[in-house]
Amino acid sequence: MAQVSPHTRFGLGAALTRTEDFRLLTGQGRYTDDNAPDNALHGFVLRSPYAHARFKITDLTAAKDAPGVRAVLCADDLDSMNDLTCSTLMKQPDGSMPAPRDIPILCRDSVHHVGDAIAFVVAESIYQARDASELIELDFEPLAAVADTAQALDDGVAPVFEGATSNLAYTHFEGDKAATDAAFAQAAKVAEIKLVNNRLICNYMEPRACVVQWQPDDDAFTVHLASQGVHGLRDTLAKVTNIAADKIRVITEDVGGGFGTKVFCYREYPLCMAAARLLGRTVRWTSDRSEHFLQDAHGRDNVTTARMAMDKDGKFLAIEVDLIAAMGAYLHAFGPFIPYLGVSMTTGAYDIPTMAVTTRGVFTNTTPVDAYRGAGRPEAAYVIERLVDQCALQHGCSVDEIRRRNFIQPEQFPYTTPAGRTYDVGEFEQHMSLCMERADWSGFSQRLSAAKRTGCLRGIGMSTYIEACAFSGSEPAFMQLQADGSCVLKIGTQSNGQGHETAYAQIAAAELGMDYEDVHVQQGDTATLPTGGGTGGSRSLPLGGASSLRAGRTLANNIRTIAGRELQTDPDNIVLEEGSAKVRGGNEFLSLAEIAALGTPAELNTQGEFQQAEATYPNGTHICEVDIELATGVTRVVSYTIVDDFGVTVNPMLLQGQIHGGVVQGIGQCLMEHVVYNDDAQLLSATLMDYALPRADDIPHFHFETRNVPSITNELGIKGAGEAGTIGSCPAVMNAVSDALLREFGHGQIDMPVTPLSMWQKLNSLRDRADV
Amino acid sequence: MTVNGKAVTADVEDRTLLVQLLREQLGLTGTHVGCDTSQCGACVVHVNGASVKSCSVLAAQCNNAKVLTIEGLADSQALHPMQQAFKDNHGLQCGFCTPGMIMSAIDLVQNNPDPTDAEIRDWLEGNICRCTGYQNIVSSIQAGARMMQSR
Amino acid sequence: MYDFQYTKVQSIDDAVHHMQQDEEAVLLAGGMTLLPALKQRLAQPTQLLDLSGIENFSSISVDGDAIRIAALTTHAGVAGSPLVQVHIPALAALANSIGDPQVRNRGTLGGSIANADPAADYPAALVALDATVITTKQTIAAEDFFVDLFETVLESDEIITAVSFPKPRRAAYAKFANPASRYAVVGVFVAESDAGCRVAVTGAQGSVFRWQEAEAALSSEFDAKSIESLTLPTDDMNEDLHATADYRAHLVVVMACQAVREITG
Repeated sequence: MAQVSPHTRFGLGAALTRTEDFRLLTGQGRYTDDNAPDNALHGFVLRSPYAHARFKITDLTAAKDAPGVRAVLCADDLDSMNDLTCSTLMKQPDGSMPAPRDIPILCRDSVHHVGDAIAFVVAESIYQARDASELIELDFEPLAAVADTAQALDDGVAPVFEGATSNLAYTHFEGDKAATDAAFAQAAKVAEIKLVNNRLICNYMEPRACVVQWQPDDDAFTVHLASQGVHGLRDTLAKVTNIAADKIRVITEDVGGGFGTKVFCYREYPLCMAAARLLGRTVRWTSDRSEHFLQDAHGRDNVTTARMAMDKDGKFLAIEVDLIAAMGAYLHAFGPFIPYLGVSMTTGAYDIPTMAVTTRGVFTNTTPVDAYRGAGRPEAAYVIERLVDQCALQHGCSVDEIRRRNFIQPEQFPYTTPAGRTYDVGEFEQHMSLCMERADWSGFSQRLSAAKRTGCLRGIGMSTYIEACAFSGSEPAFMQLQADGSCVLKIGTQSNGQGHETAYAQIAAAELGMDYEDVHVQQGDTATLPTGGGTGGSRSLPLGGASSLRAGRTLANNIRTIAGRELQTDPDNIVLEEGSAKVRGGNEFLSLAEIAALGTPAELNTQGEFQQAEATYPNGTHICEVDIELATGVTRVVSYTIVDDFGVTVNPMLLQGQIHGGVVQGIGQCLMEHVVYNDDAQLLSATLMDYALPRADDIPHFHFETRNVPSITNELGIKGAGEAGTIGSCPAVMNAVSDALLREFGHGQIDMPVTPLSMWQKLNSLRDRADV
Repeated sequence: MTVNGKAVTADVEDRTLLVQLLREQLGLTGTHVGCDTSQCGACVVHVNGASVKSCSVLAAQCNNAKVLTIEGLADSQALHPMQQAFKDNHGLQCGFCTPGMIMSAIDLVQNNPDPTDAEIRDWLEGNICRCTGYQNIVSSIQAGARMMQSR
Repeated sequence: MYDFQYTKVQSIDDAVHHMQQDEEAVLLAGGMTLLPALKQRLAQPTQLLDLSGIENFSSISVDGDAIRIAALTTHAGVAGSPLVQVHIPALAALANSIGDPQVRNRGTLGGSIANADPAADYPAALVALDATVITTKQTIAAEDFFVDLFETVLESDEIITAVSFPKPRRAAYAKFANPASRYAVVGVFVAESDAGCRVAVTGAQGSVFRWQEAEAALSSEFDAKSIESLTLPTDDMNEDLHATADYRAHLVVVMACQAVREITG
């Protein structure tokens, strides 16, 4: 690990307030829709009301003639465009590749989920576009549809794609079947659990939007859109539209949350490009919340059976998992990769010699599924952490004891898992012990009795999760000393609210001895940045932070060289502090503005790039307590304690924010968030009137602290923290719910989300069972 | 009407919402639209001193009203105490819900100068944040309330 | 929203006149239900008649043994009224539980009851308190005012002007809120007056109803124990994502007990 600069007022580890906040707090933020010029045309997508149907557009005349309408685009108008493809098809056990199921920009003659796109109406106002869309005449021939993941492969279920023999999208196997079978054959005990990981809708607060300008002189486009990285989006747009990438400038300014779902290229972007070129006008499109529910990729939606083989001492011998993963109606960009990423973390923080994991991706007549905060890793952590609790029950020991017996021990690092991941460091047991102490685990029984007096069941649960971040790769940073002595740092990640402008500046400024507010971070413009990997997989700080350090350090060295040259002293004799280059022990100094005037362009422009070979592995313990009100079935999280290991903390305030927010998304999944389709695959939870998001009064106060063990994979020791809260929380909450039921009824299995209704029904069935 | 203390006149279609007038015609894009069903609260502004959801009010209904938006809070470069408190306590991440959150919080403190944690959480029923997990928002509002009182 | 004409009426007579001229016109009070519905294109009125310019249309006064609340009084106005807080604190608390603060700042008593949403809170209070609805054409008992899902006795050119709430001896409202919309899955208003005990339930069925079995039980002994083992038939209960018919029937009992306990302490 590289030496990091000592903690300073502005350096690594300081709880600095954010430089981006002033504009965001005063209404000066620049979200995509804020960029629309006054005279822009508005696009509206006509979407399918049916989950599965053949259709014909019979008459466009009335729509085209409606007031304000400038164009109505259908599939036939987009012949030069390609479909949106899946980039992560994986080889199947028989060696074959799965058939692609690409997403047409507009459907030609059949639709496969409610919300599938049929036509694009462009008009002078959004009201006019929407009014006109209702004048498009269509003939639908509805077809049978399926929405339920568990039933998608059943005999007799209608295929999502006409002519297909089943809804199996692909099969994937990971592990060693023979070794796993052998382990199960000699197991003293086997624990088994069946789980549904419920489907979610991302619900970032800023709906997607784009604003597209076309320059006729060079047939080039400027595309403002909300993304998690402009370069990937530009390359996909180039592929879809058959327009050279250098003719497409993609700009993303402020983004109102992404959580994985804004990584992708969606239909509306190429549609606006086509309309802008056709009409020679700027075209804008803004999603409303209902469209977000229908069009943006959904998350999770797995049905899993997992089994653990144990020896007589409760030591894990092997794990076997059968996973059905919903893909939705098409294969979305990273669709099959998401469950795979989870599979690669199957064994969690435990020393499990072997595994066998079969994944079947299935099509349903639903919105496609892709990355949502954690992307496969929350699903994997949920399976292993709930299975481990089941193992404790089966073996007859406490949930902490079963973990102690099976954690990978410090001396086993570096540790290679049966899935082939290599963990660098970890102190799982110490984290768990500290968290139990902080949560007063041993004092639980008093709290249990107190809750009983108020008509509630109380449960306590933990998760000792581990996840994978950053992955192999790099994210170069480019720095420039400006004429006024401030710095610009350009980097191809994309803040979606995490605070990149502050975090990168903090790291680089410490090297330069300057105020972090004088380091101006720039992201989100393909015209000014050569490259960028975007934001996802909690990669921005582990990779981008290390590169920022290197770029800052090289610039600092160059400044010393320039100052030494000018002041006729050895560069080693120059110290950088308070925004100037000073001669050590003397009075002479040069301001950074003076340095900027003296340096060569090569000296004033630096690049830093850190290449990481393996993922980093954040981990930790979450402990949750819940109350279940017997009269109503309402389950509430009443206490939540977190001890996390993020390697190195860049800014504790930003870190805490990431964890709080992540945990609340997990609590949301456990207690309220739920995508519900009916038997005709109509979306019932189609607005925020029916899809519940956590509100302030649903959430308790958190205790959060770090117990950091620096990563030896990452240059700064950082492990990444953007998704950990979401990954650790679901199993902790659900193990607590399960614990409450177990204590009262001797049975604890219940699926997410534990809504008041589902819990009331569960309580009734458990009482009936007790009566028998 | 007056918006942020300035008299404004605009011709609008009858079906124009207040938020559309603010964003599209007056260029005040700090007020956001996050949902269609008036749950999220990203569009909260003050009309005649009380917080309202500008996505559920017609512009025409605000004829002659006094409208205050997030852009009207800060006094040139000095943040309003509630804005400052959100910065100091990391009460925002992506910032999209923040203008509505702050306008709502100020209305709370106008009615209840020293709100408890529970009162704040209850008041925020109409403001959804997807980033922060609310804890820092609650801390921000408590700090902002204290700063508003001492001002 | 579909296009419509916005008209700010100057008086109740003016509003009635417009309604008689244009059958597709609708009244705009606070707009907290109407405008979101229009945004979703669930209705296509020709004209919105904004009542907010009418003078003295949002006042609260004592009227003998009753509190009279004018139709355009906002929920925040009811919740914050010292008169209501003193004489019918349960009504103030109910108003303070509607929607969220921003909805309460705009939404009105008259608008809410005219809309007759089966999940609205006010109908329970009106029926349990034996309130009287005063319109431009009649004075009618609340129990006769609500007909069915989104349906009242109001004629197409009739406007609610006020509601008169008799002061109860004691009362309380308990609501089980929908986790997403925060409307009432079930809301139960329990009121006791010289005339006896009334229990009105909102959210559970197509329209507000009196739970007479509970009223009888509470009249003989005003204690949650009197009603906690009662059951309701599930046949007419609403069903949705958040509550089945049997769960709703169960919640009626739980919420009624909660309201009674709030009264008995």
